[in-house]
Amino acid sequence: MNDPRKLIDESSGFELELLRAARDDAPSAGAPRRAAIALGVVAGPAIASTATAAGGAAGASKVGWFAANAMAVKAFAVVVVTGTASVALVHVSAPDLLSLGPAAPASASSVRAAARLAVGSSTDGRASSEPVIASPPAVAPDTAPWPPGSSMPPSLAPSISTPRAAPEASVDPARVESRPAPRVPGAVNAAAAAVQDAPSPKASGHAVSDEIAFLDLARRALGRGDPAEALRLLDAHDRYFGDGAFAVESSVLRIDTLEALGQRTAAFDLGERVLEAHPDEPVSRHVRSVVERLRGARANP
Amino acid sequence: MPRTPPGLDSAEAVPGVPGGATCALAPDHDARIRALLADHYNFVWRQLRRLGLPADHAEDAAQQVFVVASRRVADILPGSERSFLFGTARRIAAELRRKTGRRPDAAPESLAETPDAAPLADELVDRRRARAMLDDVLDGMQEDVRAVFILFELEELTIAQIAELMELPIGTVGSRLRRGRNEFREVAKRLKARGAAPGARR
Repeated sequence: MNDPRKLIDESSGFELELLRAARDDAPSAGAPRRAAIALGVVAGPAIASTATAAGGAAGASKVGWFAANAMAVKAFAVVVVTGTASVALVHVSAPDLLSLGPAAPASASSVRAAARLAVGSSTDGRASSEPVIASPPAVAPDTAPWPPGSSMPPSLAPSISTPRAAPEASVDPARVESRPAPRVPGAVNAAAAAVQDAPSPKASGHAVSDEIAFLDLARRALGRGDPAEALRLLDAHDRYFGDGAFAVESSVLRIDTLEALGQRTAAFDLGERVLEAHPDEPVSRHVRSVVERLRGARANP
Repeated sequence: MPRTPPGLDSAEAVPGVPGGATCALAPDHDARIRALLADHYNFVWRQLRRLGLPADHAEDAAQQVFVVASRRVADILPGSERSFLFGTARRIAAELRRKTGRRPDAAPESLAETPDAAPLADELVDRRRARAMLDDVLDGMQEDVRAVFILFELEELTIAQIAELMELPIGTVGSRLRRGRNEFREVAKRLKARGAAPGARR
């Protein structure tokens, strides 16, 4: 049987335009890598960074590293947990970071801090001094349609949610319980912090945008009512990025995820640890509200 | 020749950490998954997009496809990888579409990603409009017809390749393709008659 000619070769005008439009179909450049990270088949930058430091290759100062890479640093930071509708919030350009001066090298933490400067801004142009808090997701929004004009389900609409019951979800308890308790970013010893602060090339804007996009996957999984998938992605995040630039946000997302899975005790414990380590982070307000709600649920089961 | 997506190849490794120190599974398994991603990720993503998922949902769905592949990698016969992935992609796309009840809206980030937030050129707007209309045309097709149509007309596979990929008789592929082409032309004609063609508003 001979194949007919492709329509695109025999069409013209409107039909041709429609068919040609599909030629733009392509995933974003980092998508395959994010999939590899999620599946745990690539090693993380945290490990690479440690290996570099241990090997004594980090001879250049942090400032020197940054100066060499500054022009290449363009971190499009999405505050994945606190941002409304997951919008891109801040563009940390090289001059922006350079203006911080030698005393403030572009470590992952400074990128995170810069990103958080924009927490109160959203793409609709509104500015706010308050962080925009993503509400915890509803537990079972599987059938809820996306609202018109929105990229996310209502469960992630930016509002302080009302308390909700988190039923004990049917998940594989071994999956949650067998993994080590998540580290609370920032609660690390000085030696670890020193390694962490020595930025590897992977801690460049590219790695940051990778991390943001990756956490956004987890956030969307949670938003569509798939907390088990969100937890899998957060575990993969922790394995790959370690204490990445958005490790705190990852922990906050994990708290919401654990709660959605019905793992209230784990969510509560992690929430308390995050608050202890980061009492004044922009996301702490959200964590506090979750912890208080869970405390109330414990008192009045 | 397989297309290698940017940022990953089948010999993917973080420099200095061969094989991935954090990998919990067997090295063979990991190498095969990396090869699947390198050779087929873009293909899977494109088909998910053309099966009706907007770009960001296509990435979520692609993740799910490869999670399934990772779990069942031992069952995937060499040479049948693409067939397995396409079948899985169809099931996951259908499931996601069922859950949402319709095609989820495209993410607003697609506009935010425009470099430097420059005003959109008319040409770009027209291309996006045309892409959205192509979605509408494809949405009007039955899923099995759509699958054949997108593989033949958009992915530019041959009928024989599609028959092998979908494990269908060649005659069935041919008849579905004819239906798809007829439907495509009819809907395109109707859209054009309504003045919906890109650029028509100018």
